[in-house]
Amino acid sequence: MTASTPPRSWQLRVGPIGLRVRRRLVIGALTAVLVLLGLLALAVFTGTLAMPVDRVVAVLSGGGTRVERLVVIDNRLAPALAALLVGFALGCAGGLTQSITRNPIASPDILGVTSGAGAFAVLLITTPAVAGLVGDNPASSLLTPAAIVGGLLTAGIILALSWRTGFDGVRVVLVGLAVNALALAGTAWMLTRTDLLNAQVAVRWLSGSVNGVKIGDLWLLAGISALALFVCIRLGRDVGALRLGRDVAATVGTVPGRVELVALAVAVILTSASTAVAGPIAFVAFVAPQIAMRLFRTAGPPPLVGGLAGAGVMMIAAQVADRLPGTLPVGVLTPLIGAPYLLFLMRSYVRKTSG
Amino acid sequence: MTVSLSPTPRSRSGGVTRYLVLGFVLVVVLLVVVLLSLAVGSRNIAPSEVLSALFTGADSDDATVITSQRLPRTLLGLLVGVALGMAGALMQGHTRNPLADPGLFGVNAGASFGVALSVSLFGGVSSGGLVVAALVGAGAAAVIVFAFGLRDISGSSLMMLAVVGTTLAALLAALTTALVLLDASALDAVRFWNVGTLAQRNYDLVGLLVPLLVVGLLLALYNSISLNALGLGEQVATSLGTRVAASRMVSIVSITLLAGAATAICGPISFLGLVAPHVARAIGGSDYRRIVPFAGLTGAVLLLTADTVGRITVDNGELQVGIVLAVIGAPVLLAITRRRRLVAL
Repeated sequence: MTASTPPRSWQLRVGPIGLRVRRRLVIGALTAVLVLLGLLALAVFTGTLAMPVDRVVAVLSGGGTRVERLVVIDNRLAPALAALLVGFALGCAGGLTQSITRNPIASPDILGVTSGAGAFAVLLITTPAVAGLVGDNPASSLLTPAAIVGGLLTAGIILALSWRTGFDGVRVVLVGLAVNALALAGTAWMLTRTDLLNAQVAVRWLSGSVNGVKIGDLWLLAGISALALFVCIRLGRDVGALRLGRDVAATVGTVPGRVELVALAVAVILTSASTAVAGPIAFVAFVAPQIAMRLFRTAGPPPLVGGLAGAGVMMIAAQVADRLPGTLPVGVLTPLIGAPYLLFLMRSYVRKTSG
Repeated sequence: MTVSLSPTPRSRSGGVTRYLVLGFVLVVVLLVVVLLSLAVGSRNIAPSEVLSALFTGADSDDATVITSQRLPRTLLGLLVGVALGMAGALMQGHTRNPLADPGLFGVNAGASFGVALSVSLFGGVSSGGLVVAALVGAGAAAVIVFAFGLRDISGSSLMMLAVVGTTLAALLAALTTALVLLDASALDAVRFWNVGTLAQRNYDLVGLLVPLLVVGLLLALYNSISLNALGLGEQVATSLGTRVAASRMVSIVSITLLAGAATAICGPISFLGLVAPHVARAIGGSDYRRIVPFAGLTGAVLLLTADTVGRITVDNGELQVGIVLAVIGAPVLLAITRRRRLVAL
């Protein structure tokens, strides 16, 4: 790139990889990381069960009694980390798909990738032959691979049905809505057919919750998220170019088809893996990149910063769910946090454009 | 098939005959579906038996099944199908958005939330109160969607409206779920509504809602007259003599009555209002004076077919119509998006 570095941005160079980053974005992202760390601390150090700070620190450094470890590690740290990772994965996936389709509602949760992953997992839970194989621990041993396969399958179906010479935003959304409805209907149908015990397992998982997640369940999602982080940094410029349209992107040296394929694959894997951990969480993939775009004034829905926003939304939702009376799963709260904010933003957008 | 905003001269000259023929064919299809809906079920009855039970007042077990159970259910399906099909056509026409659907854009969810909220606030609610709550909820959602959707119709705001509509639907659904999880009495009021169904538990409610549905249908037909001009944009429509604000108001009232009453009777049925107008457009072209009634007939055909299929697919019991509808409707929609050039309406 021979163009001079524009004002208000920094040039980074590590070996063969050169990056030009906007100052506002870097400062914003660092602030977001700090906020996330604060939320994590809030989740670990406070809770319904009062516990002195030094005891929590002792547990975190490897000590503590068995009960203390249960409270801090299993009841506080694991759900908070799950919320963080699931939120990041969803926000990042949403930013990728929204960018390459140039369409805010073309995010994996609205297009039915989440529902498809859920439907496939429920299919396996409620199929007696398969459920018998895994014994009494279906949540961790069966749901993860099933959800990932289901998500990939669903995305494949949507792509196969909507691809022409590229992505027509409206067609992708129409096909996605149809597939989403089909997946939800299929799930409801399977739930009416199965016995009560399986249905309960499935329903609990389908409501979308991070409580009960073990640290051990998170490694796969953490690995995938790290991989996504790398891909997003590598593809940042190409994804940005694609927001201007495929033709423009091609003239500035991006290969649209390849970038779209990689970005979509990453988005689908991220969505499916997070669905496997927390169940189908609605709305975060949809809303997080939109919030990030307006907060950090980026040109389009940003994958990376969108991931940070998603993590924030999920962690706040998980905290609120914990502190409310009753047992609300976090999956019910994410729309309550995300949707009003988006409606508010849209309102000011309407006022601005229509005078 | 290419779609233009106004009828071409050729279709105007040959239009009326073609319109009547198409309408006649749709009505015949609908009658066949009605007959099937009366004949098919856990107890299959020969079509000849059905006809004699209906018209001669024969007195047998089969006749009792038909007149006491299947006939009310079928008539209800007919009415609700027409209502949701027309409501979808009106929403697509006014917002000029091919994705508009009372289910998708939160009008049905508004009705559910209205009921859950009123039960949660006031405890036990009478049938009349339930209807009012559902209609207020549906109306509020419709007003919000229209407030966002009608400012400036351009390429970007088409998508923006879809975002607002789906956001609103998700928000209202989540609010209902939260209420239901926090308050057992609200759960009792809306738990039958998780999936849309024509199997009735509450015929008091039906008696209250049918007149509202009929008023909504008449308003929708009247409103369809101004939709062609509105499709050219508000300014052109105004210069052609259309009273834009009045037309929008009528459509909001009509959509509220149709979608609110349908949801109050059957629970949330999505997808019908999305698919039916697309099918109607594929059959009858782009003239909204045809699309609205055709969407109504198509909606009824789809809903009754879904209901009938739901009765025979499961060995014991039946599959709710909301589920079947998605399974039938999704491939139809997929076929439409595959075959036709997509147009902004």
